[in-house]
Amino acid sequence: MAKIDDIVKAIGIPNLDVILMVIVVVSCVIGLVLFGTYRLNKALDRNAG
Amino acid sequence: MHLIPQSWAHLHILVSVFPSVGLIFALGFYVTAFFTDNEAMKRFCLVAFGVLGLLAIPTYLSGDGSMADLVQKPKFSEDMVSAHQGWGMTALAALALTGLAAWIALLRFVRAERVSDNALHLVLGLALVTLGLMAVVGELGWEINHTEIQLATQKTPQIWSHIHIILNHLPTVGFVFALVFYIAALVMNNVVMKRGSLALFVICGILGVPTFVTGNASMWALTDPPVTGISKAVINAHRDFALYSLFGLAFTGVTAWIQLWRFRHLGRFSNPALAAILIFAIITLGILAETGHRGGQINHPEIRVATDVLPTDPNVGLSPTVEHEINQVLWFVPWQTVHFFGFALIFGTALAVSLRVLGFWKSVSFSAVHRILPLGVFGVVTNVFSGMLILQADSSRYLNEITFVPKVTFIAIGAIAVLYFSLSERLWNVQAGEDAPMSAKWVAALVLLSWTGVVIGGRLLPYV
Repeated sequence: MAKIDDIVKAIGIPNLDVILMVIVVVSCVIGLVLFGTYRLNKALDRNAG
Repeated sequence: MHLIPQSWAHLHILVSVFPSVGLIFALGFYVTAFFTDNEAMKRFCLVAFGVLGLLAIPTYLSGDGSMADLVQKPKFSEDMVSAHQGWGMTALAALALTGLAAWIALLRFVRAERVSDNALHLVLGLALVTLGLMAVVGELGWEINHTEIQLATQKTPQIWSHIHIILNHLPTVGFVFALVFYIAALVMNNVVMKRGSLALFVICGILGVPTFVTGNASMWALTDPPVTGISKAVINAHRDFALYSLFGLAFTGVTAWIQLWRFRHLGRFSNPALAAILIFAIITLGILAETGHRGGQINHPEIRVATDVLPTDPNVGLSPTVEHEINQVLWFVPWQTVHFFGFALIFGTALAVSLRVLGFWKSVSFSAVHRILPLGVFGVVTNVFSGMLILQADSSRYLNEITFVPKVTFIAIGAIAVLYFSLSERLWNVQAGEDAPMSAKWVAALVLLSWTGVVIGGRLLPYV
């Protein structure tokens, strides 16, 4: 089975591992922030109702 | 068990911070009680002043006992000890008088529904005088032992260590007061006290940031070049727990803020959430106590006991591992990118809410824009976490850049000012088409200026 380093090299984009890491970390953090805000406002509407 | 004092000096270090730093928080609650005209809160504050007054006894006895030990050691200057003792006696007399006035006012409360404002103002005045005296005594006190803050040989200025010695007591002692008031508020079911102690949890969380930053700078000020008697391994043991403390403070602070935000909209708290905050706060207090003890062990040999095993390897622990990992581009760049997203969230939210307060979009009520505040608060949490990680990558360089201090100062000011949006009654009642009160506009301007300062200060870091 090909290692992640081999796949990164085969694709040929410099620092692809860093780019992928940025996408994963930013997606997780922003996703959590948006989800938290959504849940808080939803809970507020439910309790207000 | 090692937190229990085994010597007069240890007891004095522990007990003396409550009548000094603690007075700030007791006064904060007392002034809030006046503003909200909450009789139960005034009464509880009088109890707090009375208890602080009683602490004059162990503070005096432990100070006297410590002095007998210290004068025999050549490290300690007799003149400095005498100056501290002289001012200390005056401050303790003022403290005892404040406590006495508070107990007398409390007795009057028992006999009548209300106490005359004169009696309450007398306690306020005496407490303010005591606080001023305690500031002088405190400064003279830590100068006795902390001779390292006079060192001019270090690459990082010793002003950081001096500020850290003062600042670290605010989130720790403040947290004790917040927890005591919070428990009292839950027992008495007093809404104003609940909101006051929740706000103090948030403020302690915010103050954790400059405390952590100054602590990092103090590490460099004490280890580069090395100072005799100060071990980097012991500092790292303190830093590891400081990191846990920051998480604990942030967790308690955010959950407390969410309740303040929720209360604004619904006019009531969630009881399970209040119970959860109590549990978080108790756990965080335990972590803070251990952090403080480890901090004390850095330069207070007198508090060490025979069973204490101090670390000796400066490369072991959480902090050196985080430093190593975040220095890799694979970890540094993602967290730096998150940091920029966080700024966008904070500034965008602060701008939208502040502009409404300043008079834009009057067709919507203030309560409508208040709903988006969690986005900004989560942005602050994101950036505290990512910022602390980034700081570890090259803390010596960041901390010595000239825009770093203004940036951290603006973070604390901007974050505390945002609390106003969830506490002000007058602002909350601003309906669609109405203008916000002038005081709210000043706060909104301060919020915008502070967060603008944070962004500019942060961006200039690598260049000036």
